Amino acid sequence: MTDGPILRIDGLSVRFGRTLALDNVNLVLSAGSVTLLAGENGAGKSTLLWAMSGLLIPTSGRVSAANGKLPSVGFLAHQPFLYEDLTVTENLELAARLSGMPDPADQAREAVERVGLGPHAAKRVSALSRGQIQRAAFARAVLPGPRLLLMDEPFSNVDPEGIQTLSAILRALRSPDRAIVIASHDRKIMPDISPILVELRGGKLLS
Amino acid sequence: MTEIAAAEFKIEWRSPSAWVTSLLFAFLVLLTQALAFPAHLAALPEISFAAFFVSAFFAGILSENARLARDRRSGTPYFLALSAAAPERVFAGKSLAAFAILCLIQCFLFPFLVLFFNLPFAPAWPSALGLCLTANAALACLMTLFGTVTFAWKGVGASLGLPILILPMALPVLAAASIGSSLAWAGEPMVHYLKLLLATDIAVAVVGALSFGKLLGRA
Repeated sequence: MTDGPILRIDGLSVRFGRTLALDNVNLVLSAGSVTLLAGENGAGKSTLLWAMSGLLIPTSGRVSAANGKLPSVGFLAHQPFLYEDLTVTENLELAARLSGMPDPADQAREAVERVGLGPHAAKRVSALSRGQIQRAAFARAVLPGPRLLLMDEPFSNVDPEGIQTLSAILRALRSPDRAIVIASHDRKIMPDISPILVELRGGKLLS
Repeated sequence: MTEIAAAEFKIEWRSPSAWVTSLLFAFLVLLTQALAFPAHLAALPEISFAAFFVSAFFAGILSENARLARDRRSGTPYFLALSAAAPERVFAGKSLAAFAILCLIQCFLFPFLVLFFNLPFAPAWPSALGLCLTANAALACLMTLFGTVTFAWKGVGASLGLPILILPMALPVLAAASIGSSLAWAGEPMVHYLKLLLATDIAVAVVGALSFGKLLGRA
């Protein structure tokens, strides 16, 4: 199912003051792959995802794409990347518009329904629970159909029913031209899709 | 561009605590200046227009800082950075929203300017309006640019970064707008001040558009 590399990480190190968050990480993300970044709290999983997204400039090393241009990125981070004073639908509609999708209003409505937020579509993000915000952020990340999907603890604060819904969406998102990276301290997250396990410890890649 | 501007403006409008604070602050700054100057000085158009532009600018900074605090909580600039929208488009959209907010603050302040400084209705008002809009464009672009520079700053820098960085760049704009308006008021030519402000608009917009992608963190 896998194809050529979507993203290549060579000798990546990130230092925050005196803390070495990532130490000489080398990794290739292939199209069609699902990678599970496992590791304990503070292992460097989130930092690696930020570096992959292109939003974090590494101290040394580089993140490069096969064709020289970074792929479109959908990023579910700890922050929701949602406007608090816009409704769920308005946030997703803006995301669809900025991605140049046709019928952004319809796309947003469908995305809201897909993540099970239909009854809360007209609520402002600031009025949602943390689990609902996570669902909305998930919808925002996957809506434009990015080639590289980065998910940092995608199911945190989500109830069991929500986890099933979001897992089903993630499974459906597997595609030969997309790479998915999930960072989690839980190695048993989505065992049915047999992700490639990559373990981080103290900023170093173990496997 | 308009979708980003509309979203940013809608958010501002839906945060009444932020804009009521800004408007009240603008009013108090204008009132303080009106009371601080002796009557014969307050009657000078240089003083009244400077008071007006300074009040609106400080209120604009307050509003921008509140918006930055919200952005830091939600991380929305990262969403814009990862979107397919061109950085220039994002810069233009955010600047347009800041421009609209500055204009709104000035619309609110205008009756108080006339009242506190006893300014009569005169043929010079359209020229002053032109200068005001041109100055607002430069100030809005500067706010967007330096707001993005300081977005990732933490601690005291997060609160003070924007005012400290923007002040040296904004002062010449405020001075040109104030002097130009007072010249227009006196019936003297102010075209060179208008040209100066237009040149500033273009320079700031070009620098902002070219550097915005890097500032957003887009690789």
